[in-house]
Amino acid sequence: MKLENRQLQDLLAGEYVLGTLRGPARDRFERYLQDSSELQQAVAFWETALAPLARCPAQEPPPQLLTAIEKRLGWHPAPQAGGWKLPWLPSLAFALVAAFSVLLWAPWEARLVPDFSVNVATEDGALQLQAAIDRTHNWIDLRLVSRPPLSSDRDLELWLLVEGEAPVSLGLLPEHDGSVQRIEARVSLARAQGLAVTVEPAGGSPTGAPTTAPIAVQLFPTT
Amino acid sequence: MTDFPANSGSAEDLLAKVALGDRNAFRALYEATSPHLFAVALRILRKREWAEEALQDAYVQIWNKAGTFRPTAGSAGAWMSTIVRYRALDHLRRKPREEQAEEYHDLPDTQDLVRRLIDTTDLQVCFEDLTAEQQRAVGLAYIEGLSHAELSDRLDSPLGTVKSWVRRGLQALKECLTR
Repeated sequence: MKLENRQLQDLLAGEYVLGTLRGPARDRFERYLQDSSELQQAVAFWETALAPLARCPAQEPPPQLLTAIEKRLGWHPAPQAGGWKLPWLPSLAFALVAAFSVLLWAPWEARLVPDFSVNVATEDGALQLQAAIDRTHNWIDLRLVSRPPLSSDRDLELWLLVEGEAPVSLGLLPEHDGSVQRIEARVSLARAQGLAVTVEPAGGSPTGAPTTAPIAVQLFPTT
Repeated sequence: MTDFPANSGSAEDLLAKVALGDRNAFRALYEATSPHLFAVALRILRKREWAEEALQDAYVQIWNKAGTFRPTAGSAGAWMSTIVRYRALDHLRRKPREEQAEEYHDLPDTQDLVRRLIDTTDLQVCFEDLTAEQQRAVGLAYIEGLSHAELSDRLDSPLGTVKSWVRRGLQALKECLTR
């Protein structure tokens, strides 16, 4: 299979997305796809172009399917195998499993599950930032989806809005889209009301307080 | 100073939260999108049991890959339906459709469906550049996941003819969409 030819690439990518590329040819195409950014682009084109065809009348999946998915994601402890001979053993085993589940599972849950998430974005969507707030550990996981273009002498700074107090700097936003970072807040997140982003001189506000009005503000949901 | 933006629950927002490991957002995303994605899988696999498996595979992947979704490259719905289609096609690779294995007969006609659903998109305009045969071949292949041989049966036309409808249909779409 020669893939140098642009038209052939487009066609194969189209048939791959469509699904008519089958069998060994499909396997081969997937191998090429891993290493070729041109092929990846061609596939992305067809995925977007043909996606409207997937809009068909909805069909409810069975209600237990979400639980099955959560099990596969490891969110539920695996069910215990049966085959007990003594009548009291299942309840003892259950008690033990339950006790260990609480011991082993609870801290893990608490570590990974944020209290809530918010999106911080400008109206035009040039800045998009997702933040997951974990009050238990007093940290915020940030993911920068996109940031507006800025001149080199400007930076974006993130602020925590605290009730009755001046905003607290959480540092500069990452330079690159898609960056993920965890910020340990120096003030209690229990008192925090929201997040804001301002444009500041390079390196961040020289005064420790915002020097301009925020370009984006997002309040936390009230509990 | 901007207004406080509402924290809306669009699929894009939910997906963004899923990327950060928010399980409740994942559940909300599932509630909002699974009837649609299940329909996509069901049309291709035609057996509820298989469609359920494909749907599970798809949501596991959605959870794991949510961080790779780029809103600039298309809607969250398009991204997710692409994933479920690939998982359904994988399923067909492992377990080819048996003849007469269809449990699912009350499907609206695919050709009607193609017409109805391409009403608000670029695809509609471009789909009109295709001949009726090309539209039918491309639409059936995408929506029902039919192979060339299955298309040939369904459209009661020789294999070579069907292949050429698909190929030329794609070429015409590409030309139109990149014009």
